[in-house]
Amino acid sequence: MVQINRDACTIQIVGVGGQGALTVSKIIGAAAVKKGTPIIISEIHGMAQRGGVVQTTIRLGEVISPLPFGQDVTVMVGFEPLEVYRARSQLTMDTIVVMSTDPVRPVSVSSGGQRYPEPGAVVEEMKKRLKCVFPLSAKASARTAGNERVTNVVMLGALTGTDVLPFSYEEMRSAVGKIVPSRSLEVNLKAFDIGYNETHGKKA
Amino acid sequence: MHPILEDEPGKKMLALGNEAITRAAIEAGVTVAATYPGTPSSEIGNTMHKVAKEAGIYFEFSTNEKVAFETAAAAAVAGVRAFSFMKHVGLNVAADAFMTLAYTGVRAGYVVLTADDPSCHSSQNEQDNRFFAKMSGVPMVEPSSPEEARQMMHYAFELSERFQMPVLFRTTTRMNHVRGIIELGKIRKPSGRVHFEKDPGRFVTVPANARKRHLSLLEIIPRMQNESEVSPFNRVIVPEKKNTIGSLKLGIITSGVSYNYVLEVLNNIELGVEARVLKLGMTSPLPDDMISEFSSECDLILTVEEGEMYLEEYVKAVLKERDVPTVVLGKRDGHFPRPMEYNPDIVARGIVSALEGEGMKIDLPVKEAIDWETLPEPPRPPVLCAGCPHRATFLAVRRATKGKAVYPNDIGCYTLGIQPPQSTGDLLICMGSSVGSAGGLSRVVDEPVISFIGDSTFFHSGIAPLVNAVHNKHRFVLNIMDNATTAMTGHQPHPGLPVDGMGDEAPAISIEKVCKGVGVEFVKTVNPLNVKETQKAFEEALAHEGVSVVITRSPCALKLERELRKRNIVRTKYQVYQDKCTRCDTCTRIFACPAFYKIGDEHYIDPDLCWSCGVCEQVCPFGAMGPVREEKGGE
Repeated sequence: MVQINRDACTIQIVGVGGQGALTVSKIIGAAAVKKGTPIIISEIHGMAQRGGVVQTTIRLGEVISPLPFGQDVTVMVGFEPLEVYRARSQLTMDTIVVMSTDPVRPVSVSSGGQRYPEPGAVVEEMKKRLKCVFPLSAKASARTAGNERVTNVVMLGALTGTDVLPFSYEEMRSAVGKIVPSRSLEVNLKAFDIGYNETHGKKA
Repeated sequence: MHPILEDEPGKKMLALGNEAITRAAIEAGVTVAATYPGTPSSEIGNTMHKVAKEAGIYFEFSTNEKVAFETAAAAAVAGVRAFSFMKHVGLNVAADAFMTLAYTGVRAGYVVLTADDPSCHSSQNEQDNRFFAKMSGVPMVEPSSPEEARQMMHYAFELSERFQMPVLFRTTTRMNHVRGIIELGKIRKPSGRVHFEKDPGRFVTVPANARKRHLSLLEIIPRMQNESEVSPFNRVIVPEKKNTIGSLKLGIITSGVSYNYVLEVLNNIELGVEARVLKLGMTSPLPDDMISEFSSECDLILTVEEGEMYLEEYVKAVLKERDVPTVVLGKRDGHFPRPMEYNPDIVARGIVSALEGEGMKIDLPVKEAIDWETLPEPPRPPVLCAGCPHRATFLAVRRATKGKAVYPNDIGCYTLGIQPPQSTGDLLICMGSSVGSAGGLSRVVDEPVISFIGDSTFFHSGIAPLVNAVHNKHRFVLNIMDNATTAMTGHQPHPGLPVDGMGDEAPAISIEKVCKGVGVEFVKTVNPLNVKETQKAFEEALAHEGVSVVITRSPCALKLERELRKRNIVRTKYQVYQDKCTRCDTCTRIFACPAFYKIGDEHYIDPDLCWSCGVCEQVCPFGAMGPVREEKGGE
């Protein structure tokens, strides 16, 4: 299942401003620093907070470029189904996709009369074309964990469950503890575990 | 202690480029630092704001970049290390001071950071500030990674002191906003007070002195160029993996983030060449000898650089002058683009295009194309947040003007008013242009003019044009949208707030008093979340002969929401009462809050997105929007 391209594992996070992608990359960063794994993370800030598209690229391994050649993405973590579809040109048949099925409708849809793609149709499209797709409702999992806002850590758990990261379950959990505030650690770890179990040992 | 202040040399840390730069400034013993916030440089100021007091540094968010530049420049002239930093267009504001400080120079190290933004991720242009170095004679360095940025800051301070010159530290978005591992260096203590040694012949640029100082500058430039020839940051790199053997000797001259992409390409794609890279870290003055020696050993030279033909034209000129016959290719022949930031794919295509022009045949590895079904792909532009007071202001303005007015806008979140249904952005050039341009428009257009400017932008560059407008008897309405923060760049304080860059209490400058003080007769302050009252204020302002100011004051919704969340305060959300809703679509048509959504033709408000501003209740003509009903009595 795991495919490491060349020297690096490249993780592409796509989503919407305010969904917590930055926290996820900081947690992966903490795991990398702890283990001594080279890491480069590229973020686009700026107007992202205002509901725009957010893309974060994380590269683990001996590379110096924050962006890969050939948009060579090992795994895409989609916080939002439309944004996964929008980023489809970065996918190869071998790219693993871990995606939330919860839509965040842009204003162009809610007030502008444009159509939003059925999340189910996006999942189906992915499954039809790629070998390895893990859809999940991050919102439902976060609710089960006890706080709707921890969808990002659910997604991180699901990413970890695919075994594509060069870090173990325990290493990632301890990295979560390094980054999230202690008062919300419990709910975050719970969210992480729920996400982890959504993908770990499962066939896509 | 903030992790960035840890005094543990050798310790490794994951840091954002901007954090690495801040750390390096602290390591270098910077004593005075100043900025005006601007993406992609903003996190340097945010970090300084958090740690300055503990680090013993004087830090300020200045009213604009020119003031920031001058504040730090003066400290360096007096004899302590200083640092000013700004986005690329900020250097335009500071350029007056920048150009002449090149004549006087400084006594202690002074680093001026410009953060360029190719692709305009959050800017109004893609200008290439490397030309400021060339134009001024100020030396320049350009890092490629957070750790190199950290090391280069030390080097820049050392250069600055050696040549008694300010140093331009040029970054781009993919440098500022890249996280990488840095290795902490030793922290040098900031200086205490110094005695100002008077030297008016050097530091007072009356024409007689300026002429002499220009000569000194011209004498320093060749010495700095000698340094560039031996600078540890200008060096030849040979790729480790592929492209080490081939019939053609390819030389690539590059700098900054482009270097990363060049190496990614050379290490991953077999081009069938023997490639080597001249990585330039000190890019002004450029090293003539190094460039011509490197080029004369190659069969073909490519210059790979985002932006303008800064390296390309220089390299061509040097090789011509030195009679080096090697062909140089770059943007002029169309192999590499001038607009937008680069990535490894763009660089690969450019290299292949240039090599094929030389008769080589290269097959770039192509990804297996996936044949995707077409699904709807609605755009997701950034929008004003739910609960944003600006959206309510724009609604009131459109009602007061019935949409028949010209709306100059300015730089800030409220720029997003250009989108429908607000459609309140007709002209925008730069910081403060809403006020200056309103004067000109009001003299020639046949409709009223209403300009929008934020509180921080007003202090930055809105006051001088307001003085101009009063004095020259222009007639327009200036709306100062006061949300009590510099919102777009990440909520930095400004002179209108009772706190300063050090986090200390500070006198808040009253916008009302400033406006009245410069002679505006009509100044009215309203709460924009009250749409009727706001509309009335604009109607009165429009009727006023001369310049009128309406201050719409309500805190930034994003900032407020974060603060409330920290205090565990949940306000009553709003909902659509389906029994009263007539599906008239007025709410989405004229207000378009991001919390609104529809299922079929039924309207709903997403409680996760609603920030309880209550404006929708005033928008709905049928009373079908209001506080969530089931929780009677609210909170």
